[in-house]
Amino acid sequence: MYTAGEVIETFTLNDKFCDLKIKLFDKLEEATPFQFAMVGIPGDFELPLYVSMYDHSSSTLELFFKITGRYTEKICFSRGYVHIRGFYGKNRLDLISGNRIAYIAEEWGFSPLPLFATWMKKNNLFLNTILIFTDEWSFHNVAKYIEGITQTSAFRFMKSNINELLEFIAKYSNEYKWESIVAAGDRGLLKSVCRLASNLGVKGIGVPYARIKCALGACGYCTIPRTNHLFCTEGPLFTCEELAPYLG
Amino acid sequence: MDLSTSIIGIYLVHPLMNASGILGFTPEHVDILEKYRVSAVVTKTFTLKPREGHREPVIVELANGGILNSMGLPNPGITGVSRVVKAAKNKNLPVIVSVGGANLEEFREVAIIAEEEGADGVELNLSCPHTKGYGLEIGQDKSMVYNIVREVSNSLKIPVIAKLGLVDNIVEIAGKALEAGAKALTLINTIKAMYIDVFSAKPFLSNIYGGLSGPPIHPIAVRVVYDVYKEFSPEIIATGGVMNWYDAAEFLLAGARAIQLGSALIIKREKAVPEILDGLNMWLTRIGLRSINEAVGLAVRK
Repeated sequence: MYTAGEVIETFTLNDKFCDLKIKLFDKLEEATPFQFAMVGIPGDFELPLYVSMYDHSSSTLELFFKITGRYTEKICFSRGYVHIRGFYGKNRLDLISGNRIAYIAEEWGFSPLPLFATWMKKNNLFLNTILIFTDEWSFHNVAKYIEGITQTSAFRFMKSNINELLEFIAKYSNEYKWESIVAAGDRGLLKSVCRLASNLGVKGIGVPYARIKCALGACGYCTIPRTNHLFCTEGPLFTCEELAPYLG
Repeated sequence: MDLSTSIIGIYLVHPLMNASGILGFTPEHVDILEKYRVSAVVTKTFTLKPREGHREPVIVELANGGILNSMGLPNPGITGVSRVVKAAKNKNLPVIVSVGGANLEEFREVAIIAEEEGADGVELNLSCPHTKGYGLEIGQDKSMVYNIVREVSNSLKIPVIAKLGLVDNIVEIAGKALEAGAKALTLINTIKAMYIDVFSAKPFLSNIYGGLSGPPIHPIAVRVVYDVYKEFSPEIIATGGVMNWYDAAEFLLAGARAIQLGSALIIKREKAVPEILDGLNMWLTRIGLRSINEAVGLAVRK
């Protein structure tokens, strides 16, 4: 569904991460974790952004995202009206099994965390977050922010130390008793985590990066390569088995 | 109940296929369309050179149930044709390649390549309403339609379908396309429209204009199919806002032998085709017909 909204609050954690609150003029349906919206300025641009929080009663949408270029910067510092199309993505939280979950995310994967953590808490599930950063500057403010949201300590790794991350997961999987590992990242990360999850005998779930154009399942731009899955209508959560042809 | 039909000499197990623009430019899309159980694959419109299409925003769902899109014919160019056709052939699915061009020569070149790669037919996109220089700007000129259809028909052995859009003299244009050698017509393409965001006071689409599809255009499409069938009794593939069996039945009665689904596949995905087929089965039985063919054009003959 399409609606407009007004930016009511902007908070930048540093020059890389933005937290935006938008008051929608029409109510959208309740959002479920990992759903996303198409957000933009009419006639100008439009971006897919994960729903970080959505308060249905007040129609307030929160978007927490990394500033990666011109348009994310424009949205972050936008004043006035924006348009929202949404929410898109399928509710596949039933893929996550067990009570103790590890969520591993590259920076763009931090966005769904607030809503995901809220859902975990509501369902009495325990969440550990493992955050992958590209640089030290993003690290400090953002990690603390996420720890505040999730109410647990976040493990932090640099993207250059992926092997260290995988060793950590292998070593501590038993201690933290993770029953599902959800990973949001590029193909390399998903491939490694899926393989590791399989070796550890835990459920592996991936959130791949996808190019979104229509978000409706029509244009086919978001097709997960070498699979018959559309990110926008069947994802963003996929099992490692579903992603296997893509991961190679 | 016999739900089979044929169009341009192609046997179809049932009359429902995807509309061009619903997936259709990679082998993975053919997998998805097979999952959706279409009886034939219609590809995305291919042009000679790759096109990026318009920048976002390119699509919006309207409160009236319609969808307005201005994708801008993004496609990988002619090098993409072979992979899609091969993928369809591997699944024994008939494949119709949608061909676009800014001029006669481009239409001809792309159509020839489609034939060389094994397409069962080509559908000439003479009616895209949102891409400057392509589609509807050509399709509203009866001489251009005639010349393009004739040139392409003369260059190919496989059948040519002309996909036309809503213009004032649609019946006349349809006649010209048939006269020039089109073996069937696809009626109708999306209708030129726009949407203004009232808070920013700006047109929503980056291209300003888009093509309207979905339920709001269905009665218009039914009228066009009826008028063209009444005049020429050609083979018609109808498209425009089919969401359920009733809409499909209307098109058959108006004169269509096959139907392309767009919005229905977006909204109902793999449920769309089975639901519509079940409904058509029930309807044909209820009104005492034994096959799809018996229904074609019945409203015109009556």
